[in-house]
Amino acid sequence: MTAVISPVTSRSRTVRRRLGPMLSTGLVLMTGMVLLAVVAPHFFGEDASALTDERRQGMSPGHLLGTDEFGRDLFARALVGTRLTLLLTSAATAISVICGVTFGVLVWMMPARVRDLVLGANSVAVAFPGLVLALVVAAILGPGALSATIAVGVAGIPAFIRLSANMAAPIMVRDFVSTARLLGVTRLKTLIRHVLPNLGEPMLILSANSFAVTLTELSGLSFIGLGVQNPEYDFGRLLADGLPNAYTQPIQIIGPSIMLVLMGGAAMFIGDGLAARSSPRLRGLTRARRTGILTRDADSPAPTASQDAAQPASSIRAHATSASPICLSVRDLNITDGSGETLVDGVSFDVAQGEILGLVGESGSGKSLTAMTAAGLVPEGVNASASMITTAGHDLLGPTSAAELARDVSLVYQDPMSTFNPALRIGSQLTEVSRVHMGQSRTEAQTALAEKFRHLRISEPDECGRRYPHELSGGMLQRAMIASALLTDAKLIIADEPTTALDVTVQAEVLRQFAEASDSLGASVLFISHDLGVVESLCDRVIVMRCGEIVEELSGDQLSAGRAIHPYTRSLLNAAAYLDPTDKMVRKE
Amino acid sequence: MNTAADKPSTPVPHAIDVDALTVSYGTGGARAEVLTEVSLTIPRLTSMGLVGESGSGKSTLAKVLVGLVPIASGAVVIGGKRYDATTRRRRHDPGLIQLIPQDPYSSLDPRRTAGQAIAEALEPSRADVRRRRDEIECWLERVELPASSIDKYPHEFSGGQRQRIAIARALCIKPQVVIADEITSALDLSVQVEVLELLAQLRGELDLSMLFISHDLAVVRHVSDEVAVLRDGRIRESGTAEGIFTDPQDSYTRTLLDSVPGAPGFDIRSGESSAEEAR
Repeated sequence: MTAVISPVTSRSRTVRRRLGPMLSTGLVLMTGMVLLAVVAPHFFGEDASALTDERRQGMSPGHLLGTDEFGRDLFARALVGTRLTLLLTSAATAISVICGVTFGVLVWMMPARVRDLVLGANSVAVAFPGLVLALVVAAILGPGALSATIAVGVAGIPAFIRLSANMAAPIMVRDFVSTARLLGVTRLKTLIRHVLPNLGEPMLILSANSFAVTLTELSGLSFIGLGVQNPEYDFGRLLADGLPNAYTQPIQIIGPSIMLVLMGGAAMFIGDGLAARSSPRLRGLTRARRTGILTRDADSPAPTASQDAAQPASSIRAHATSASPICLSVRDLNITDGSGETLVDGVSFDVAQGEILGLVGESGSGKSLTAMTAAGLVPEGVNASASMITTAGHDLLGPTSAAELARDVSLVYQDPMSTFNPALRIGSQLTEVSRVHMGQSRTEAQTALAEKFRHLRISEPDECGRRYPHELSGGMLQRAMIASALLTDAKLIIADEPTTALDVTVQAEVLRQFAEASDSLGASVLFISHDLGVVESLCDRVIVMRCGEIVEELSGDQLSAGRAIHPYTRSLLNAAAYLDPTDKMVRKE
Repeated sequence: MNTAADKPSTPVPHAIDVDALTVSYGTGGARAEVLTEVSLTIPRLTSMGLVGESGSGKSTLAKVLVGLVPIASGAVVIGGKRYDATTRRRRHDPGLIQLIPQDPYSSLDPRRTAGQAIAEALEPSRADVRRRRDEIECWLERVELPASSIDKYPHEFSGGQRQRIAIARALCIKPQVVIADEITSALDLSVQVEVLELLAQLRGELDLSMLFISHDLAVVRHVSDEVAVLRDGRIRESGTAEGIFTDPQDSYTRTLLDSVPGAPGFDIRSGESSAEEAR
């Protein structure tokens, strides 16, 4: 096998990098096993079966692993046994996978009630230990290689029925399956054409892992005498032959043991390697770029606190004249992803205290990345650098206190349903900052929260905190999030598309709440949206981003009047005007 | 299937006639009515916009029309074919009505090319791209995609391009009626405009009747000749698009219109919320 691994040419190195270390190790090992299975009986068959007078010998150059009581070379036997072991294990695995997946997919042909019954019965079969089932089947069929293979293969079927039926379930409700039905494709054809191919990858992974289990089960059956019979031999049989002499000649069991471990390990490595490749998240982890990093530009000196407030960048003119202090200041923010591609390119902006700044752009413009970085949350897998990020008085490029940042900056996310932990009550989640970082007691915090709920005219303010997230609508959850910003007297609220998931009437409510929170707190708001109508009605000032750059900056009035200069902003405005439900709307009063 | 749409007053059948349709999920105490006595008529070659917020039952109506959800009472008549609670709609007639689904990421099989997706519509039993290559390429070009897209997989397309493929797939068999269920809600604004313009153009070329479902008033106004407003499973108001948008009669319709940021009735600093008044 060493011949297969070396020499490591540059080509094989790139293959390794593409496949990942686990998969390439597994594939190399398994290729070696297959090669052995093919060639070993030719070269070592004689040594492995010839009876000689050199009995029970120890390790020697002539017999690397010694000989057994009939004088057969044990090294040769271990190598030759690979063929039968590999064949039987592959056959048994194939029985489990092919029968299991076929049945598992075909149950979706059945009416719902029949399917539930069948799957229920199958679950009972899964609960029954596979090896015991295999023992029963092997005992009925009588000892022998064929019966052991069928026994282990059949014992593995229920698990694959269950897996494939369950994995087909989410595919069955996908739109492309119902669309196929509307197009008049028969159910069987839909299963073959759409469901089966989408099961392919996970099934391949599971089959590889199942191969390792099947290997131990088959070897187990051979070991206890129900599997392969003399004079045939697989690894299990070799182990059984060596066992009586385990104390006097332990070398006898080493060969088959090592081969078992190598073959099982090869299958496991392939399975895990495939799984890692199919999941982008795991793939990212192997490259060891786990967390986002925020660094200071090498060529810019650390600014002192006095510089922050006194020196708004010259590129930001709209607020250079404003007397109000700056709440958020970002200078020369660059963000690149793991492969070095630029996602945000030299973005600089300020948000004055009490100002609502809109950040507009289409998907992929880098607006969310910019805002999250400004909150000190650099997403996984990207690198950010800037010459200055000062958020609510904290220099994010230097050491910051997470507690103070959590208190001063409040975040409202796009999807209220996934923002909250469904297992915890709203109140305890919203008061986390005030309890953990501001040292309030649970009762104090809850009372304060109810007070804020009342302030925002949320119905039943006292009970609301005791509810679980699923008991509230999306709009209520977003309003509750805003209430928690009020609770900590946040200096900056960063809202990432907070109304995109909401109905239009609810959106109006939430927007009013933002305006009110900003007014009553004097807090600044960084409001990310793709909806020009929303931004125009809420924001004092708007920044338009495209492909990671700020293309234009407008005041709210300029935007309402349609006085944009940059062609991209103009095209956005045109698209919005094209889709304006309110144009020419003459309302009867 | 019994074709019993023999109404003497309407010699030409409407594209869709929904007659006092009621739909419910669950049984016994858990029974919930999703649509209540909904009546709706879509004349041939017109586009009806159906507006409603989440939970209003608008997607359920679409599923009833294509036969994915059973009818509790009432009936729907599509292109002269009548379906009611007793009709067993085992086989769908693809030429009658087609649905363009909402999510362009879920509506295309990730393991099948654009060409295979359209081939499946043209020929459900074989889905052979080679035999229909010219026809498929022609359809890709009709939805303004390059003919070379035929061998590309869904992940190689943007959301807007995927939605174009979904449109081509639904329209290539020339159905009498097409339902577009929130087809622009997952798209960027400028892409929305492109997709809507494409759909309007194809509607003219193919003599389609259309039910356009959306929560977005702007989108509905843009593509619809007539509009119906659905709330909590009931039709609140219906009429011509111009009438509904300029002179809404129902209080809920008015609330909807006033809630659009930038609308004359929208005031962000207003103390009282008009939405709650209407509830």
